[in-house]
Amino acid sequence: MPSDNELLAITGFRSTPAASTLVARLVDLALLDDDVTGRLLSGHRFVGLPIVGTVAAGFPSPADEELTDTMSLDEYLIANKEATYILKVTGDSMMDAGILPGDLLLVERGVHPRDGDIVIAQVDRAWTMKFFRRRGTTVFLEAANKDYKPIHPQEELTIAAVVRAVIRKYA
Amino acid sequence: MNAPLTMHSFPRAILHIDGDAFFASCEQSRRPALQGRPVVTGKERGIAASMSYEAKARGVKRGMRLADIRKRCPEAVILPSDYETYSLLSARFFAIVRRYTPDVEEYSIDECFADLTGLRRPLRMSYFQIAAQIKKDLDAELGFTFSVGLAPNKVVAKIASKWQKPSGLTAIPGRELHHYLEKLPVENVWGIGPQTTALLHKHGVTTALHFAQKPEP
Repeated sequence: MPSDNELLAITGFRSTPAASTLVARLVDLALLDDDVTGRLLSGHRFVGLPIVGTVAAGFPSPADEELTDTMSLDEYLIANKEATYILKVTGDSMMDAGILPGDLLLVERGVHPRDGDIVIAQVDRAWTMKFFRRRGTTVFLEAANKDYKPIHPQEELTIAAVVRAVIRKYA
Repeated sequence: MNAPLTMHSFPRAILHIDGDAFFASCEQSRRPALQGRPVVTGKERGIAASMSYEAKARGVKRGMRLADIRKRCPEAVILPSDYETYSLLSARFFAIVRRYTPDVEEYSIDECFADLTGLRRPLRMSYFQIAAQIKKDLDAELGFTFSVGLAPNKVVAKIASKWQKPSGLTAIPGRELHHYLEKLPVENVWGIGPQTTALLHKHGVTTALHFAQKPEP
């Protein structure tokens, strides 16, 4: 990935802060990522997944015949194979987000959660799955079920993994 | 006599990576409720095969009988070995290291060597930064810690990874090697067992540095 000087040449900006602002936005969009030393790396959205086709909920369209491309579910659902784990859902606290007991989750370890991500978290020594919310400098967990109140961590909050996909099999 | 043994820091850059309390850590990673608790694996064998650092802190040692463990540490969680899970996590461990270099020697289920020589320019990082980045990926993505040693050869890399455990990251550049070997008993060097140790002690060789300075016969 380019250095500050190379960024100036590519973008035509004359000041480094302008380029840094652009980079910060691209990092937010996960198109870029910066490592511990501040160097730029490609982010997990840098390489886009091809869209295979659309399905109309009606009669099959003759255009489907042209869709000869195949896709792998692993490739579609998993960005980082080594960091991805499967968990089974118990409890109904994320019901309104479409996550039901018995569903399978693909979770990714070792990533920083963003506001609105569904996370697997340890809060005050208990494990739970909730929405991760960030308001300024405070963070809290929110259920997707009106019967549960938001959880404001009293002592500590550890985010073990971020939920990347939900799988439900209609047997 | 305390002169450097060599003037080059990294004629080759060899990494030794060791999973801390690997089997017990796999269990804690898979079942987060076990984190922070003393975990011992090896129930099916009747003796401790691996124990978490919490169990080690309470005096549980490898090979200890389960009955003795229950006496010494009644709160210990004793689990049967689940080799399928351990080998799955082991495969992920090696795959993460291979993101950085194809030259990986899988030495056992929980340790490997990786040759980083020549990777500074393509990765635009120092050897130490590469080692730190690999450790960061492993710890974050597998959910438990690894101890990493960086050195000019495999024997010294193993010394480096053991230097600080758990979760250590130690670099021993060639030009500083003598400072480390000076503090290391010769029997702690990989490949020097009880017989060789006894022989060396007869000749007055007690530290690894002393051994390294001996001329070849």
